[in-house]
Parts: sequence; structure tokens; C-alpha cells
Amino acid sequence: MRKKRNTVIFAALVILVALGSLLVQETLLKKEGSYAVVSSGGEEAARLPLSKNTELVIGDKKQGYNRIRVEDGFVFVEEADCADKICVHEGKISRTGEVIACLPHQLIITVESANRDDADTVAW
Amino acid sequence: MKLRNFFAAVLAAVLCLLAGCGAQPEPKKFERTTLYFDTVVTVSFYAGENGEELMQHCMDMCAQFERVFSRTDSGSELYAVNHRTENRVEVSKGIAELVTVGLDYYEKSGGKFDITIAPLSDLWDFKSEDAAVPEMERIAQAAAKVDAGKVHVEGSTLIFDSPDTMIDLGALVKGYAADAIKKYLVGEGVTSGLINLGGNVLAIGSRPDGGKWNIGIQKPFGDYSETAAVVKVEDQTVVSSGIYERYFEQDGILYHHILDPDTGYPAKSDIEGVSIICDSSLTGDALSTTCLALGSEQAEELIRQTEGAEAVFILKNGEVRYTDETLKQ
Repeated sequence: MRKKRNTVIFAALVILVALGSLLVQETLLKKEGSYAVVSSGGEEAARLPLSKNTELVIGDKKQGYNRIRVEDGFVFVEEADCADKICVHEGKISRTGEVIACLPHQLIITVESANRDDADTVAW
Repeated sequence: MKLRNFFAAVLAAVLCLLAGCGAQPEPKKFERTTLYFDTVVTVSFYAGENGEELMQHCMDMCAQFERVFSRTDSGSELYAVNHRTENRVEVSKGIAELVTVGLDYYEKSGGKFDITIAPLSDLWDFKSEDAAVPEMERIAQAAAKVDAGKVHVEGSTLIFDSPDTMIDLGALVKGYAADAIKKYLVGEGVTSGLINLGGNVLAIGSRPDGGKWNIGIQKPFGDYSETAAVVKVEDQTVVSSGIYERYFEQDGILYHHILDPDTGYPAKSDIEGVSIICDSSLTGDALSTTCLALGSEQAEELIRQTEGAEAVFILKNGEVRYTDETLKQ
């Protein structure tokens, strides 16, 4: 009798853990799918989830900088000291495949997502 | 006893789920974003262990194309062609091929697609922060130097009737490069991937899950996050051209970068943006610029005549027109 009860408890535990991990996989991880990938000089510099408001400065005043901000699910270049300011004027992006580039500073921001219904890339 | 068997079965099922059984082994995704051709280049594909080597070769190809086709780099082959001292110039296969395609579309567009537009585009200088409408007289002077009818190709030799003629292959080189990169990757056994050269998209096969690729088409003048449409493609290219790409406003008038070689001013067109869907990215590149310059009526006729090509037009009045309704989905 006792042996049987142990089996029941063990099985219940295993099922709970399994369901729990499945739930985490299906909800939490999937929702966090969208993030901004920042690369500088050809190297990936940062991966910022669009779900979290944050600020990131790449470079410094000496060699040139871009101040990148993530706000309400969008990423944009708030301020930069490059000559053309094209990166600042490109505005806010949030969808998979969208890109902001600062050619003078060799900086690229792309949005990536794990959500399969989004566009895989954007033709512009 | 029965109960125990039941639990054993449940346990086995749960463990199976946890171990992820039933999941197929997938090839790894390789992706790199970098800057070439004055724009953002992203190459991504699924491959086995040699993916990193394949990727490096794709990047080397971009660098190589840049060395040949750049109009501004004083070390490029095209620069040497434009600063020639003789009226006959021996060129590489790539330049001869692109000039031939350029002249073909010069014919097809009734002279509106012109690879010798450089004197005009230099004068307007749409890339500059303080671009302004040039003086009328200078526009006329520059327009007089533009005439693709003064360029001829004989095998690997370019023949120029005038020393003023300059060639700009910027409207074709991204399509050409995308086709070459795809050909290389397919030859190496890649069956799924996406090449995006500054907005020119070329798909290799279908998505790794077998579905078609979803390609967003940017909404003209929209907030950058807006797409006007999404088209589903497999093994095809989506190339856009639009008056929203480079422009400035002066006295309430919008001046865009697709110039009419006859007038020297931005082409008068009812199209705000056009996306071409076809097999060759080079064809797509040539067709998209040509269609924009022609206006929707003639452009739709050209698409009808071009086998295997379809288009999505976004007109200035907001209308979105598909030459093939099945693209909508």
C-alpha cells in the first residue's frame, strides 16, 4: 500500500515539473521573442529585449557615439554625434527584420523575433 | 496493478515530452548583418557544420563586388571605366553583363531607366543633408551628358561615343550580388535561407519548417515599423523601389531620387512604391526602378510582358494594386 502511495506522489511530482516547464516554454520564452540586436563594427554588441525599457550608449564622445533607447516595445537612436544623423531620423522600429543603421559609426540595429507569424524580413 | 501500469505509461509519456522526442534534428541557422554597397546587408541560411565558412565566403563576395562596381571608390574597376582615357575599355565579365542588362532596360523603358544618370544624380545629391533643387541651367547641362544610347557593349569591350558619359550600376548591383550569393549557397547544398541586400530580398527555398517565407513590404513614408503588405514567396525575390527612399522637400514640393533623364527632374509618376516578385533579383532590381519611372499604366503592361514577374504597386492615392491576386493571401 505504502509503495503504491510513493509511486503516486513521485508520478504527480514528475507531471507537475513537466507541465511547469512546458508552461514556461510556451508562454514566457515565446513572448520575449522580440529583441533589438545591436552590432558595432561588425561585432554583436548587445541584445536588448523590446519588452524592457532601457538605454545603451555605444562608443564615447571621443570616437563617436550613438545613444540607443528601448521604450514601450520600440527601439530607436535617441542621439548621436555622427555627421548625417540618419540613424536618429530613422525613427522607432519594432518589427522583425527592420533595421536602423549608422554608416559613419558602423552601427546596425536589427529587430529579431522567434514568433513565426511575423514577416521573416522586410523589403524596402 | 492496473493503476501502476497506468502511471508507468504517463511517466514514460512525460519523460518523452521533456526529452523533446519527436523533434526533428534541424540544421543550424547562420546569420550575419554587416555594411556593404552603402547599405545594410543580412545573409541568413540553414547549414551544417561548415556554415561559418560559407558565410565568410558570402561576405568576401560582397567585398569583391564592391571593389568592382563602386562608382566612388577610386580603386574600383567602374571608377577606372568612368575615368577612361580611351573610348574603348576592356572590362570584366560582371561589368559587361550589368551594362548589357542596363541597356536592355533602357530600351524597354523608352529611355527612362538610364545607367548613365550619374551627372544628374551627382548634381541633385540626394544623400546630402542639405539637398536643394539645383539651378535650372545646371540641370540642363547635366541632363545633356546623360544618354545610355552612347554606350555599346561588344563582348568584353565597352565603347563610348562621348567622353562625358559616366556609368552608375547602383540600381542593378544589389540584385546581381544577391543572385550570385544564392547561386553559390545553393551549389553548396543550402536549401533554406534569406538574403537581404539593402532591402532587396532573395529567398533560398522555403522556411526550414517547409512554409513559404513572409516578406514584409515597407509602407511608403510610414513610420518605419509599418508594413503595407506581406507577400509569401518560395525561392523568389522581392525588390522594392520607391520615392520614399531618398527625397527632400522644398517650398512644399517633394523631390525624390528617381530622376527622369529627359527632363533632369524627378520622374512624374503616380507610384509611391513598387515591389517586384520574380525569380532573378537582378531582373527585380531593374524592373522596380523602371516601373517607378514609367508610372502604373505602362508599368503594369511591362510586368504583363515579363514572364514570371509579378508586382505590388502602392499608388499615391493610397491604392494597393496586385498584378497577381494570389500574392495577397
